[in-house]
Amino acid sequence: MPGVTGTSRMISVLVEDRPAVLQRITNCLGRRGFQLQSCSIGQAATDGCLRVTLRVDVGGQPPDQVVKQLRRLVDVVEVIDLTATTPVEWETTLIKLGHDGDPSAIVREITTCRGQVVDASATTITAALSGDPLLVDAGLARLNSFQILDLARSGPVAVARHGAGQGG
Amino acid sequence: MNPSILAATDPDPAAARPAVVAAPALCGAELLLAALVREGVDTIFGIPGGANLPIYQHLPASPIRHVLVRHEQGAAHMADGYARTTGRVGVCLATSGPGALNLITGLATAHFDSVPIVALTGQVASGAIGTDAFQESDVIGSSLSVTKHSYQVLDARDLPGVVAEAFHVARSGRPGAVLIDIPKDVQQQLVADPVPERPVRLRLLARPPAPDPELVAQALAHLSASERPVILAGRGVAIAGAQTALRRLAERCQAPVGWTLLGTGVFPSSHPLALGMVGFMGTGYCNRAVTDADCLVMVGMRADDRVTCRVQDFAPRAEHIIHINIDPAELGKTVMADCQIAADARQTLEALADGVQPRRRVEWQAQVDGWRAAHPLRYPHNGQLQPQEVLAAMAAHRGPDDVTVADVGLNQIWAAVNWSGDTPGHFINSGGQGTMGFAFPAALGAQAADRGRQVFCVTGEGGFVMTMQELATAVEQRLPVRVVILNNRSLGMVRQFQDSFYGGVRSEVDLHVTPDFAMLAQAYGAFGRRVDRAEDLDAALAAACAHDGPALLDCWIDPEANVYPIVPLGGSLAEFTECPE
Ligand SMILES: Cc1ncc(C[n+]2csc(CCOP(=O)(O)OP(=O)(O)O)c2C)c(N)n1
Repeated sequence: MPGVTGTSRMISVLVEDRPAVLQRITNCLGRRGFQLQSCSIGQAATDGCLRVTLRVDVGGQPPDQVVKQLRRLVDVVEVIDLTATTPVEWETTLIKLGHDGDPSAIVREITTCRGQVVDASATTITAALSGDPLLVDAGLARLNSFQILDLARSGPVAVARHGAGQGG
Repeated sequence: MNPSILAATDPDPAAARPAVVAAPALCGAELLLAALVREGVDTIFGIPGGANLPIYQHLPASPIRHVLVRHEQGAAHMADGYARTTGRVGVCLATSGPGALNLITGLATAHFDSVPIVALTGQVASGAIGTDAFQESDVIGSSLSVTKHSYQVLDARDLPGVVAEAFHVARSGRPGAVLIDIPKDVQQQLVADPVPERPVRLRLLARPPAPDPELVAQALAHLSASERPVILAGRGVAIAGAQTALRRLAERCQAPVGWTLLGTGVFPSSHPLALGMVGFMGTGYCNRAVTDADCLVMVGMRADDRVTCRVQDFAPRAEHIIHINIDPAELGKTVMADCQIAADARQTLEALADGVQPRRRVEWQAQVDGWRAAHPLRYPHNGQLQPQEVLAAMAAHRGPDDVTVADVGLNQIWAAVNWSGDTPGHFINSGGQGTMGFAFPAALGAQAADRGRQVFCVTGEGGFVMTMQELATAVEQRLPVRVVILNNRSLGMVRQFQDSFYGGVRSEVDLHVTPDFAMLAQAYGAFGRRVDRAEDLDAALAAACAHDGPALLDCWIDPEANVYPIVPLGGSLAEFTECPE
C-alpha cells in the first residue's frame, strides 16, 4: 500500500458532528509530527456523531501518543487503535484505464481481480475495486500494465472484528 | 415588548399582570454578558473594534468591570495573571482580524501552562465569513493549536449554553485556553423567547479521575522499598489543590521535594526537605538528588526538555519512576515512567500519603544536605549591583500574601530560585512558552483581581519594552503594580547562551538604546526611579511601595551577571556548571 510503513497505525475515531471537527483532528496530528496517510469520514452508528478512520504514521514517537492526543480533543468521543486487532478493513478505488478500441483484455483483468466496470467510453474503462486494502493493492498491481489515466483511492474504513464494538 | 404599552392599549386587565408580560427581547451581546455574570466574571480585559461594538454597547450596563488595554496581547496576559493568582477563569475580549490575532501569543502562553482563560472575539457578520471581508480573520483556524477548544456561535440562542460549556472546559480536567468567536450580527440578533439553558455536554462533566488502586499499591511498594526517593512537583499540584497532601507524603516518607519552574510555591521553600527548582537552571543539589534517586515521583508536571535536560540520562539510577498527571498524554511522552498514574494529583497524593510507611532516611537526608552545602546558590561580589541583592531587598518589602510575577530570561530564573514562600499562585511566570513581555500585563491582571495585596513585577528591560504600553492601563486603572527592572542593558539570557554555547560571539544582544525607564514611567504619570547602588535599594523600594499607583524601579545591575548553576546545552542534569568562585 502506498506510504504504509511499519510505524503506521489504523485509528478509529468517534467524534461529535460539530464545526471544524476534521480540522481539529488534522491539526492535532500535524502539529505533533504525525503523518496522516489516509483519512475517511462519514456516518457512524451513534446519532450526531461521525466515524473517522485514520491511517497515521507515528514515526519514532510512542504509538499510544496519537490515541492520547486525539482523546484530548473536546469533540472526540472515543479513539481506538485498531492496528493490533487486525480489524476488518475495506477500501474503494476507482481506476480509469485507456485503450485503443479493444477493451477486452482490460475487462478480463478487471474480472479476475473481482473489480466492477462502472463507466466506459470508446477509449476508456473505469473500474471500481473494493475490498481489503491488500486485495485492492493486488488488483492495482495487475492493472499496472495498462495505461492508467486516473486513480482515486478512498483510503480504508475499518471496524474491529467479531463482537468487539467500537462504541458507536 | 414594552409592558407599559401593552397595559395601556390592551382592554383586558389581566394582560397587565406581570406574570403574562413577555420578557423583552434581548440581543446576543446582552445574553453573552448575562451568561458571563452567571459564571462569576467580574473583570474583562479588552479593547473595542468594529466587530465587537455591540458587546461594548451593552457593557456599561452590566456589572462587569472592563479594563481597557493598549494591545490585545496585554489583555490575554492580564486574563492569564488574573487566573493564575485567583484560580478563577480570566476573560479577555478583542475585535476581529488583527485584534483576534493579537491574542494568539497570550492564548498560547496560558494554554501551555494549563491556565484557564476564555477569549471572546468579535467576528465579521456571519454572512460575510469566508469572503475576506474587512478585518476578517480565521481565528478558529489560527488558534487551533493554542487552545483547548473553541466555538464559533452562529445563533445568539446558543450563547448561554456555549458560555457555560466554555468555562467548564477551560477550568476542568487539565485547564486551558478556550476561545468564543461571535459574528457581529449574532451579537445584535434579538432573541424574544426565553433561551433554553442548554446543559454542558454530559460527557464533559466527568469528575476528576481517581487513581487506579492497583497502581497506587505499586507506587507504595516502590516508595517503601526505596532508599533514595525524590519527589518532583509541578503546577498540577497547585491546580489540584494538593499541596497539603504533597507535604504529608514527603514528610511521612522523608523524601526531598524539588519543583519545576511552574511548580514554584507548591512546596514550602524553607522546608528542610525542599530541594528548590529542578532542571536546566535548577539548583545543583536538586539536580544531584534527581540523578542519584533510586525512586522518582513526578507529580503534576510534564517533564519537558528544560526539566530533563539530556533525557536519556534523566534519573539514571532510578529503578522506578512514578509519574502522576491528570492528562494521560503526558505519561510516557518524554520520560518512560514504569508506574504511570493518569489521575487527579490530590486524590493520588492523598492515597500515597495515607498508605506510605513512615520512614526515617538518615543517610539519604545527610547525603542531600551534603549536596546542599556543596552546591549553594552563589553570586559574585564585585562591587556592582547584583540581581540577587535587588531581589533580597524586594523580598524585605514583600508581605506573605503578595504576588511576584517574573518575566522571561535571566531575571525569571533569578526571581524563581531566590523566591521564598509556600503558596502557589504567589509566584507566577510563563514557563512553557517563555513569553517575553508576559510579566507586566500579567501583574496588572493579578492586581486587578485583588487590589488588597502588593504585586511585584520582576522583568528584564528587553521583555518590559515588549508590553510596556500597558503603563497607560496601569495608571488609568490605578493598579499599583511595583515594577522592578533588572536592567543589564542586554538580552541577558541570550547573551549568556552566546558566551557559553555559541563561541562567545555576542550577536544582536546589546540593548544600550532603551528609554530612561524612570522618566518613561513618569511620563505616563507613574512613579519612576533609577537605582544603581545596593545601598539605595531599600529607600527606593520603600518609596515605590508607598506610592499610590503604579511604580517602577529601573535597577542597573551588573551587565555580566549570569545565571548559575546552568546545564550546558545537550548535557545531563548532573553536568551543571556553577558560578566561578
Ligand atoms: C517573545 C520572545 N521573543 C524572544 C525570546 C527569546 N529570548 C529568551 S530570553 C531573551 C532575552 C531577554 O532579555 P531581557 O528581557 O532583557 O531579560 P534578561 O535575560 O536580560 O534578564 C530572549 C530574547 C522569548 N523568550 N520571547
